[in-house]
Amino acid sequence: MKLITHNILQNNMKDGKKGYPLVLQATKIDKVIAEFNQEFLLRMLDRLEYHVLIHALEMIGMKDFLPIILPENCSEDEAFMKNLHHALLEIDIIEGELICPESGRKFPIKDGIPNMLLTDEEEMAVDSEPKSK
Amino acid sequence: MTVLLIRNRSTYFICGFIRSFTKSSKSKANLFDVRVKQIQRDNAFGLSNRKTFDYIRESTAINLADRLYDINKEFYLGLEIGCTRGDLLSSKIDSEKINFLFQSDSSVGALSRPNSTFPIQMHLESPQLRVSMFDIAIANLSLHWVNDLEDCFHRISKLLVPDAPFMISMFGEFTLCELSSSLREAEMKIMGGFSPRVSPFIRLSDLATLFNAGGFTLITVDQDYITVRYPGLLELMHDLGRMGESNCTVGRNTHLRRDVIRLAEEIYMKRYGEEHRNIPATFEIIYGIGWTPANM
Repeated sequence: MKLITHNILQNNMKDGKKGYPLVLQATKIDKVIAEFNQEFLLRMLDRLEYHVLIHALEMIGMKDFLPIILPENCSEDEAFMKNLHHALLEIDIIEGELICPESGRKFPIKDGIPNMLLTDEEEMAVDSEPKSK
Repeated sequence: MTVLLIRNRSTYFICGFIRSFTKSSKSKANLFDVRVKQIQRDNAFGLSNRKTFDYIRESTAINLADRLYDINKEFYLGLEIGCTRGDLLSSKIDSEKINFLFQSDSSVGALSRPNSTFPIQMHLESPQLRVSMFDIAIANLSLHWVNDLEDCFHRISKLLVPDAPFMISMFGEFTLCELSSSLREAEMKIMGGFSPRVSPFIRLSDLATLFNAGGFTLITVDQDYITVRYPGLLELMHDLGRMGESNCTVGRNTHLRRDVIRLAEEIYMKRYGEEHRNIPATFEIIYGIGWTPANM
């Protein structure tokens, strides 16, 4: 599971509460090589919860790998972009757990895949927001 | 092996039963046994030779990819809903078209591939994701076992940013029509009654209704047919099992008697059989696209 995935995962709970961000506990981490594309990364920055990425890095022992505050004009900071790329796309959590900050519910990560399946009980009770548009 | 064929509908009997969609219907009784479907799909997608059985999904994936490239737009974040065989669809989409494609499926077998991009194991109907994240969502023949489709479409629309498309291929009402009618008739004759053997599929108009109910606009739907020929009934049913498509309708009779199968095959052969004693099986594919409103 890459950190870009961790950034978008959320435990949508039955009472409407949202468990985000999920606490990350990694027991096995791999590093991979991914193609660097500055443009894609910049687009991603809009959607990214940057502080969640920083926190995730901290949880896997990579505190200070990226600055806590997103630098202004980061697109011109080559070193920052390279590190951002590495953090988002080249760190692969192979084994571990994701823990909901609201309910404590644990979601396992196995073979690099986060298992966000809900149990029957959790499923039945999940109701989406009112459908009026 | 696959042939695109527009059939004369009057040659068909009424197939299976049609799913009904009324805006207000919120029946809590599930149509499909989700747990059984999970096991069936896990078994199918764990097979090492599953490539052989994916020809229908392959065909619809090619079609969907074509339609995707017809859209003159680049997408930053995409979500594939139910990727079944890992890179079946994603291998047809390059990163220039969809920069980051997240792949979701409830079955780990579908996700465990060397080339799967950003896999997430989750129920298709209960996405565990932040809202307003994705620029496009695609579902290739993956939603036909979902119990509450209206709710599913609604949730998908929430995941998308404004002015984002949801592209889908689904099995339509005439899918496995021949199988359904042959089995039903055989079962009636031998058992004096029948249980649902072929899942209920949706109509073309139902897909439009679903998009609408989900809050999508600029909806277009169309249909296509794929006919696959089999040497016999058992081979067809075997293939369906290998595709992860065995029946899991609640209330189904899990036991299918040999004499029923034999009679069903006779009926099938007599009514639909072709040269060389092959039997054709129709798969109606309904394609649809809807867009989230530009100003949400």
